[in-house]
Amino acid sequence: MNIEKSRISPLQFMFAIMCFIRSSSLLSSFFTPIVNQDSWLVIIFGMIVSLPVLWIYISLSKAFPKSNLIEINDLVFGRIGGKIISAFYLWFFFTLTALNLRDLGIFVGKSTMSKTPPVLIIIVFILLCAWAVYYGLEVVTRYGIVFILISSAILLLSFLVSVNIMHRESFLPILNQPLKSYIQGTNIITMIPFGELVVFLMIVPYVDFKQKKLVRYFMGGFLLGGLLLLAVILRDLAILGNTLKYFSLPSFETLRIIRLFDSLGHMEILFAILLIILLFFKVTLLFYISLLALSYWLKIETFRPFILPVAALLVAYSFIMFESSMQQTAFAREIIPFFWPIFEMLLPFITLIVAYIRELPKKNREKEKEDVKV
Amino acid sequence: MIILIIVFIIMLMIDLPSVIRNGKKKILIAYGLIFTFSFTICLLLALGISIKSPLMFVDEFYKNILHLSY
Repeated sequence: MNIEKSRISPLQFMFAIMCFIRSSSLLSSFFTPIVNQDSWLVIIFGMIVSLPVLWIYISLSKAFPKSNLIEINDLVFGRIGGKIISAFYLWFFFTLTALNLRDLGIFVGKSTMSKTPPVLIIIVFILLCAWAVYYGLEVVTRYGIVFILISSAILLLSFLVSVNIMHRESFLPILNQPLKSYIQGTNIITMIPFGELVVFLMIVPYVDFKQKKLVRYFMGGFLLGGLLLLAVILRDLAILGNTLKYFSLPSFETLRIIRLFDSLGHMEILFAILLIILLFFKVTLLFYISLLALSYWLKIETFRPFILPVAALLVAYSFIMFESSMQQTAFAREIIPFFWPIFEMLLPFITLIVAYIRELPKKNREKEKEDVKV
Repeated sequence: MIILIIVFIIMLMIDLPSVIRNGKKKILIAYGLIFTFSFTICLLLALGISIKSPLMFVDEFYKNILHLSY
């Protein structure tokens, strides 16, 4: 069964990973109040801790180069076991999509369209995403490069025009927080943007690259995306200093106080546009992945008829998942660091171990060799 | 609520012809189930009936049973 016929280039794949991580800069308020001026250190720690997790993903992709995550589960755990494990993943993908959709609705409501009901913003947005998803993976990932270039240009511009209001003292004192704060902060950053890269296991089989280059592009996307996130936090911290922890959208506040000459201000609109673009990319990709996973789980050759009913379900889900933003932030800080590892670390690791015990990668490779000979 | 019903009827009008033309029973059944589930949830939400979020079950399970949270 092959639902996705189109193929994407390795560069598109890499930029998709970068865009995915970069769009998480909206969520920096999950960990900035915990580690304050050491937020930038926590991103570096998170990137180091995420390396073994990425190794699991890359190993799985290398072992099963022609199968996506749902197919891998079927191969490794058998038909029934695979279906059960995949059902958990399916729920995880839907939850991630609805969470990001909710984030966007709240952000647009807070920042630019305060008098528009969030439900209207979310419906218009998901319809646009549904339109992109209808045309498949190639269309979904096509503009990743453009989005990253735009976001990097805005980031660079914001650095240049804010040098005079950056303070070196904002980073001091370093490593002065309780150990628990660093552990919690690292845990959050590892789970929320970096560990979510597990979703890319659904699209790796549709990328046109040789096996050796998988590591280069997967890691490349991760490292560059992580560095962009680090740059954002460094800029926000240098400008806002200790007040960083009081804002739910630090980058928005940073750009709000930047003024170029006397007349050019209110640069936060750049951030709002940028974030809407990046979240459009993230939600579209997650929506596509959820639908792809659903159709593989149901063993149905197409996902297109399900786009609209699933979109409606996602809109409803994004509203019922939390009663308030405070509840969402508390859940992200307290529970997600323990709950997301099930999908991002534990299940992929168990899959890899079971595949190794059952010698599945070996059998797969032998089968491939036989196919080549034939 | 009337708007919601109209929206779902429009969705049916867009999707159903292609699903029926496809001719596969499995797609029709899956579509019917997903559509009904989606419509039910949206209708409950529109009627103001509170639906407990699955994430809140997770929250309670971790906090009260596993005692695992920061």
